[in-house]
Amino acid sequence: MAQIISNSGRAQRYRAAFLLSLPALIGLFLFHYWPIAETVRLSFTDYKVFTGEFTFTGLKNYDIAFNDPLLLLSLKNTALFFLIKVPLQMALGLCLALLIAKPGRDSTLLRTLILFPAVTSMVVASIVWGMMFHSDIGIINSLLESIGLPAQGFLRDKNQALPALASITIWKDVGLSMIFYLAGLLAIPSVYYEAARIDGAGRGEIFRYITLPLLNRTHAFVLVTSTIAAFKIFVPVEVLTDGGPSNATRVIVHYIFHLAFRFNRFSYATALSVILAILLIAISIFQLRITRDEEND
Amino acid sequence: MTELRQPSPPWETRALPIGSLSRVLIYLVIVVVFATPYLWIVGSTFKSRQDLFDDLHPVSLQTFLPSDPTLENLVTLFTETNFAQAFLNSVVVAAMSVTFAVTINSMIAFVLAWLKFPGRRLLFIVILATLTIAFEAKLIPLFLTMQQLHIDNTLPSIFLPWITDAFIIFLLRQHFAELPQDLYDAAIIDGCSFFRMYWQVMLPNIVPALVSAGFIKFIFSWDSFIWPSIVITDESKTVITVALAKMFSDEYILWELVFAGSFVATIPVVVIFVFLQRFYVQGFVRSGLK
Repeated sequence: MAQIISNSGRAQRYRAAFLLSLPALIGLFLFHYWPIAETVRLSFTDYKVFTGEFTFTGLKNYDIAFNDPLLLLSLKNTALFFLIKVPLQMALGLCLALLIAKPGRDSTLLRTLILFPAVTSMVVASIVWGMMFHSDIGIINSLLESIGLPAQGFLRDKNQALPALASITIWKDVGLSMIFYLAGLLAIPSVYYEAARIDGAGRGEIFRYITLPLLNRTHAFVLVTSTIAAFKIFVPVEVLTDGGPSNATRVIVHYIFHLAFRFNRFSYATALSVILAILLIAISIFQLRITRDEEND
Repeated sequence: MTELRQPSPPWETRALPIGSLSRVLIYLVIVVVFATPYLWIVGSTFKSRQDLFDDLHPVSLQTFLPSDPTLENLVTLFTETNFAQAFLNSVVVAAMSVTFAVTINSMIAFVLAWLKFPGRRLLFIVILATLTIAFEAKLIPLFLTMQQLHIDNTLPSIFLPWITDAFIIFLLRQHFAELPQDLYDAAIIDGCSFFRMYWQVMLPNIVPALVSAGFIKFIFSWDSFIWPSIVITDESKTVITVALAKMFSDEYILWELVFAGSFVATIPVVVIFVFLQRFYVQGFVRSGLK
């Protein structure tokens, strides 16, 4: 009898569980797995604008991709952007976390202020900094001139545009990196510090041999997430430079986006999307490997 | 893991070893870098176009403070552009997005945490795997599907694809799983059904996590730009980010309106953030490092 009750109870539980999971599962299939599969399928086709048809063409899109100088350039720019942004953001994030690790009113206020950009939309952040850097109304040039320095081109200068975009995104994203580092710092057990102090270790040594290595998981997490974000840089480029000047800020997502939605080259754009997705997964795995190896040393 | 607020003893060894003077200088630099853009937005929003340009050179306190405050820019923005509509659309989309995402993802998170069934681990991995694929890689088929279903250019098309959210499922499952077994057993003995277990027993116990998830989703929705700019071509369905970007890309930019628009798009969010900051931070910290 008890068995029967628990069996019908289990059936009822499974039914309820199925109904509770269903909406999320529909979304998972319809808006995540199916579009990914479609992206892969379309990357082997050719899209005709006039008929709206996709015809199978095998590896042709990938063939084109490997000989596309603009793709190469946009990958190079993206990599350069990553190299400027990620190390700086990680170093600044860690320094800010160390700065506000001391509990107190000033730390709380600073933390709030530094996190404002994280909740500000990227479009607004781009526009505001676009105006700060602007040649007509920008206050940065105005400041430079009032202390006797020449005005700079910033977003209109092909050497300064990419670093200027990187500084905007660092300003926006450094708060979250700081928060992850802060959480990592607070998770280090106090006994390590006490032991080190009893052994007479100085501050520098404590930082070098305790704080830094024990933050390894945090380094890995911040590195992987900020790298992915850097490779997907799009909004400030779209809003501020549109890939210019002279292709200096042509980055991969911007290139894909424009192929698809300005030139209707949907098939070719999906092939590049596949390449980007594979590239991102490969980079993440590589970075996780490296940081894990360090942990084992 | 140590909570952020809980102080543990030897702070000095962890915090930067710097004197009070250099500390003040560093604080000053941080305040200038992070606060200036906001002060400039707020100040310029309440200035006339003439004052805006007059106060630019040289940069002084006056650049950030309106000497003759006016509401003209905000009035123009809301009456003579489609900004009011875009603002309303963004509010509707954010509200829908948060409501659906919190409900639907918490339901499956509860199942993953409290029902032992074959394939549970596999399902969880299948869900988390979506986090590894950049959403940019899905845009084109999503867009073509919306067209084929004839639901492009509607507000639901903006938020529907992003409701199932692996990050939120992960976060909430974590919180559900941490609730005590006794709570579950006691409810079973009382003859509680599985659905009531979710709705009346478990859900009220993870409210802070729900707020975290909701706030993070709200920010995501308010911030979204790429997808709405693809799927919406009808001016009356546009959202605030797209409307702002459009103003900024006009041939003849109305700077005072760009400031006012940025003000309206940002200040409410920042004010909410001051109150909900703890939930926002906890949401990211707990999901990131466990």
